[in-house]
Amino acid sequence: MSTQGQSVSMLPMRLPSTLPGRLGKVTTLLATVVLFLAALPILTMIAMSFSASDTLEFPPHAYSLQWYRAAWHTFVSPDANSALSMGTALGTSLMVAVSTMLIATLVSVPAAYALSRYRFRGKPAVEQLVALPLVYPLVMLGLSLLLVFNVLPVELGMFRLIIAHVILALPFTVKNCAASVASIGPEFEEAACVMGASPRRAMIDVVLPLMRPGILAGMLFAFIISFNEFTVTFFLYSIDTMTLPVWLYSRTVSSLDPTVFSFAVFIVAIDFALIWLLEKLIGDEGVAL
Amino acid sequence: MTHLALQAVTKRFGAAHAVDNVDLAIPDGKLVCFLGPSGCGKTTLLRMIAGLEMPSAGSITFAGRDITHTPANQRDFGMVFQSLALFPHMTVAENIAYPLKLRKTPRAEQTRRVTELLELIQLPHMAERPVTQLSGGQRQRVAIARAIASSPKLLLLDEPLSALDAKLREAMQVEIRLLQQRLGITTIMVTHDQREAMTMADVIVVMEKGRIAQVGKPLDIYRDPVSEFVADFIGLGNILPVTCDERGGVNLPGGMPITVASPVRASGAAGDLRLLIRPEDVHVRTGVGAGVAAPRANCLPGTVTFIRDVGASLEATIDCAAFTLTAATTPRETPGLALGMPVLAELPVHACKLIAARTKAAVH
Repeated sequence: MSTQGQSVSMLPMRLPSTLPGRLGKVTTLLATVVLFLAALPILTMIAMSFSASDTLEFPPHAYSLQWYRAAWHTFVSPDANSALSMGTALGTSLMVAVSTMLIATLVSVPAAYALSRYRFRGKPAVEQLVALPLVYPLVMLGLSLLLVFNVLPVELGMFRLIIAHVILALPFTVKNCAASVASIGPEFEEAACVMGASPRRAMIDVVLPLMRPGILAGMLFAFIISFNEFTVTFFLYSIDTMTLPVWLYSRTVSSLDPTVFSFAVFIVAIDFALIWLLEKLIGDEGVAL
Repeated sequence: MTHLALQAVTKRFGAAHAVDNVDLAIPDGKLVCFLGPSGCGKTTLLRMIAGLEMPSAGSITFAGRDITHTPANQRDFGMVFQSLALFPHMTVAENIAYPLKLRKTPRAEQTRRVTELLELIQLPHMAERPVTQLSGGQRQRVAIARAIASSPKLLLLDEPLSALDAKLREAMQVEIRLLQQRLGITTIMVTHDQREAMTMADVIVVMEKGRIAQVGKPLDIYRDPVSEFVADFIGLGNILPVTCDERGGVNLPGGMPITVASPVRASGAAGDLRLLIRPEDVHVRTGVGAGVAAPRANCLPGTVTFIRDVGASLEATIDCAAFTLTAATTPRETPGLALGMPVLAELPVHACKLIAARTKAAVH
């Protein structure tokens, strides 16, 4: 009896050490599975890019750098049957991504400021509309935009892609900028105003510098979203405005060899570099641009 | 001459009156405290003076000029915010120089002024520090230096010390007060801390529900509050409900007659009245037996039920059957005071004030 009573009284003291331990094991297991699944495509891609086989044999029975060599040849001297070189596609992708990044940011900063600082008619509607691309089926979005762009009297060229990408990037840029405005608090602008700054001056001197982490995060999100976008772009590209993901896809369809994996490794490396930069810029406030 | 004057200033937020019909003249070179509980409208009033809120009605004049609708950035006032609002992306020197930069002061003059101000706030050699690396008290001083950098005609302080711990707070109160007197700058400070207001202010404006309850020098308000609200808010006080009989006599709860200094304040003779006596005015007489009759007027027999002896001062709670009194004294003045001891509480006639009872219903 007495030992039982003792163990009951011990229970609250034991709980913290045992339960989190068990929870910890479950959490560790779940995290391992999820992280493995998340890394699976990239691991596959990297393994395949080093394949020594001529086909998409998986897993490769031997490893070599032959596909990197082939990829490099394609890059510097596109073969005759490829309508468009990878270099051109990369150029288009970069142009579209940079434009998307700049336009989305220029739209988002004032929008985020207005959304988090002012009450106005239709504010909930605006908030919903900004977030809409997150839930919109991408195929429908691409098709709808294609229909609209085709009836326009002007040929938009690359702007077809830029407009579509800005729509897709806006939820992320606005959200990041809005979060940074919300964290600033109106007293900083008020302080600047009392000291003699016009509202525009207070914006430039105080609000924008303090929004910097949010703006940078939004910019990089926009770039990455645009650089990797496929579904909507697939509806809207023309032969002159083929982006890298579309080029990769068309190459996969025409000639199925592991070269695409070599290219993909290259693209993922760019993405990783950008994400690393993002964390570097935002995680460490001391870094100045 | 008064520089800043408010006439019938009112601010409505929806149906609620945050500030209701306030008339006030701020004397030059003085430190004026807006004092009141949270939600009394003191901060809203300050923000209207700063130009951060526009009054719904009424006017604000400064140096003879109507500034009611002048934007904040054209008023040329200095202000310290509750959160200080120092710019975290700037150094100490950049923060202090910001108002000078906006006025296009030459760079050499800016540097000279920043150095001068850093000396004034006793933080030399701190110019190049990021403000995020300063301690609470240092940030406080930088915020004040920034607010006075452009030599404004009026300094506004919105609960600037609320983020500091008690000891630092007291030290900063003295520091700000000395600085204000040295510069002779007209200053308005908002606070809910009556002790802070008593320490720093030349004039206290007590506010209640958007209206001014009383304006006066700190001690005048303390000694002669106009209402139960003011008496209760400023300092500690024994506030007892009293009744008046037809002959003009005043009776304490339990029917004991008491002589008071002031006659009933002209207005509220018919309304509910309260007797105010400050704890330090209650004289405690020990060495009396139980049940002795009061030897003279205004002496009430009672029993000590609680003693708070903190060494420098002593506070005794005295149970007088129908009510309790708090007496403040010192351990030296009342040696041998003990719990349960029968005492006589003497309420000197000159210290007994009659005041109007707090009105139950809101004004609007």
